[in-house]
Amino acid sequence: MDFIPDPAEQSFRDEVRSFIAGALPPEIAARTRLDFRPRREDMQEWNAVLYRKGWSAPGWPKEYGGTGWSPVQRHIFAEECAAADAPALSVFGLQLAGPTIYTFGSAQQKRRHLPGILSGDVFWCQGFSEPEAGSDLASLRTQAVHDGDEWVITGRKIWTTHAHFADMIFCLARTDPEGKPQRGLSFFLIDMKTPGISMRPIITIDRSHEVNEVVLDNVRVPSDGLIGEVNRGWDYAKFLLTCERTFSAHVPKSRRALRRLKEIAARERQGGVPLADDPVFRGKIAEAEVELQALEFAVYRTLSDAAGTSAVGTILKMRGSELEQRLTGLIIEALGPRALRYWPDPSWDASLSNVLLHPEDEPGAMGTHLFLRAATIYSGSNEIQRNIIAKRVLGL
Amino acid sequence: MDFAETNEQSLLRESVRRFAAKTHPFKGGVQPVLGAAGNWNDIAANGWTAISLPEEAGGIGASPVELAIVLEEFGRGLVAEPFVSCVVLAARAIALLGSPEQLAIVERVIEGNLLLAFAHEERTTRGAIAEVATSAKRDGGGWRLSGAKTCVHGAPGADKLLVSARTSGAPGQSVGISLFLVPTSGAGIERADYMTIDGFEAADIVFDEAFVPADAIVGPEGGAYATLRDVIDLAIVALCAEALGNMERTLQLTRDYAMLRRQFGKTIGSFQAVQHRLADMLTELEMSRSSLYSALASRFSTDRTAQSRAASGCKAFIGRAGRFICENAIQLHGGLGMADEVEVGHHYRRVLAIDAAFGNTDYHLRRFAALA
Repeated sequence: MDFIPDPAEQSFRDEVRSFIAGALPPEIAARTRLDFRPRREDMQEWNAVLYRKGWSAPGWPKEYGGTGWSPVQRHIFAEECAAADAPALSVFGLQLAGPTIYTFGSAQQKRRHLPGILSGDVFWCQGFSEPEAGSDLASLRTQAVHDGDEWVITGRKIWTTHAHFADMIFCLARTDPEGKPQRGLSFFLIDMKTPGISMRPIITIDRSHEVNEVVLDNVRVPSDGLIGEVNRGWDYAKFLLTCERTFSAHVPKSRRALRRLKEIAARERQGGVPLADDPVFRGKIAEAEVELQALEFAVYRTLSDAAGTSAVGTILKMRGSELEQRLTGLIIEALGPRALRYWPDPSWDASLSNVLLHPEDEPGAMGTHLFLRAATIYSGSNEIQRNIIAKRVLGL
Repeated sequence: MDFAETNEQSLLRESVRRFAAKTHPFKGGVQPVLGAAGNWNDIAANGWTAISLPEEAGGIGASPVELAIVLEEFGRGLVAEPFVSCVVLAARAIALLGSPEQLAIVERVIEGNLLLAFAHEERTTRGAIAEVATSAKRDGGGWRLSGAKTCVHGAPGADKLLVSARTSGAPGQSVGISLFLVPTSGAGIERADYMTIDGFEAADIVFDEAFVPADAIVGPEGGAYATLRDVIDLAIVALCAEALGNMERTLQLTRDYAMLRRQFGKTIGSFQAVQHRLADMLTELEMSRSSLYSALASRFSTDRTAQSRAASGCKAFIGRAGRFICENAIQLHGGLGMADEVEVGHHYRRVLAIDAAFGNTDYHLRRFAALA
């Protein structure tokens, strides 16, 4: 083990920073700065810019379009993107569907789907959770029945982020109703334009439209919509959930939030005293920063753990989500009563936002705080994370 | 000390609860809209606008217990009406300080014919009452007001504002603050109306040499601080009572959900982790109620410092406990807790707003310690 600093890292950071400064469209950065829910157009345009540079999927194997960067370089890149107010790219293609397809898919499936994911032209959403299957995902009821050359899929998915503008959905469905629930699931890739798919928006407590309920009514999926083997879907889902782990610590995003918090604390005053000079508030900022620093190294450790045997990987989602929430909480605390103003999120109704928005009003701050109450719920609730740690790490 | 509600108090509670259920039935997933019709007439018709106002001004001079009962039911029922701003703050300040002519305004508020809004907090106030920078400079027979007030509850629908402004002294000094009755619009008055996240109407108001006549001043010139402190202390207790209603309803909803929702072949309420969390929430709720009662008790003495200290202690406690209960409630509801169609998120937004109003937990811990 050593921690000898690598001088090449600073020049890499400079290169990345300078590229982003030249290539990130200012209107997109300005919109991202406001912290409303990201728009498809913004994610797509930035994805295309990165794709042309060959940088849209740094974590992928080089043979599939990855950059071959070290874990530290990938982290530097993500940090610089977040700091510059580049929109976060949709994770469902690049981080979830893509890795599943290049790991378990056929050559034909890879040829068909990977380019669109890399370029960002094709948007994905995740059909896992159902009204009756949240934490107990394996009990899901959406059924897939083989009919000739096709699968006929019927069921209901919920909390489906981006379904309203996605082109494709990857879905877990039950192909064998007998036996252990986990052993009867299969993994499907489905075109959202397939007849039988309908949806309704679910407005979340931040008053944005980000998630949906998706109904599949006898949706006919060709045989090449099945990934890998029938009834092995749970294994592929578990693989996918491990992929989620490292990015779900959201260190670059939290570093950006910490920077924003310090700016706000310097601006907001009680009487003549900036909040940043209030010893109690300064202490709270310090606690959050200390946690972030440790989390960053927890991510490096996990990325270096090729065998996936280290315990540290199991804590990332839990501590990462709690830190995100702590930071949004401190931001709205710093804003005081100004955080209480309701700024309509354009994602619910574009016509609602006809007021000129000033970044220093932080119009998206409260919405982000409310939306991120979900961070400890999605991607495996923090209660489930604790179960996993207790069982798999501690052997209890 | 007697903790049992009297018959009248129970009847009051039931009638407010019925009012809330009838006039403010829960509706989620709806875009909040300025200018939606409220139910102020019912609130006045029921006599609740007279609670906490002295008899000399036409009120019923009821004890703070009755006020707490009304507000708790408002919280439980998510009643978004400018009651605290209009009655507990603006009308009460005028009732305590106003001239006989100005007391007539209080009567009209009680009757439901006039709405006031309390415009005191500024961007740098954040609970520190003396942090007023808005100035009032003499001009002929009246004054010209200049400054900016933030998040004034009820301003969009109000008939008049009660505005704190300095006739002397510097921000941070308790001496020199005066109160003025000011129109809600006019020359030198710029209002930005908006909804707050918890469904209330509010405004940011900028005064630019706005003229008010001689009789607009309420109470002694430069001497409003003590009254401001008193009305704000009572308002803080009222808001804590409201939050308690939000918190109790939230715990009830979450307990019911835990008994209904099944995963892994059993109700989620069967899991010990969930049971312990709900037990912690119940504990915080009962402690919060106890903290509120200690603040209510302080209102029965005449020791103003003790009253301020008790209000701060209660606000600090309930600010934190409210966030604890409501955040855990959302967590235990899982994905459903994130849906605007579901009630828990609405209670969370209200407790966040109450925590931020008139000083947050950190501020009130500091004031509590300073008043020792």
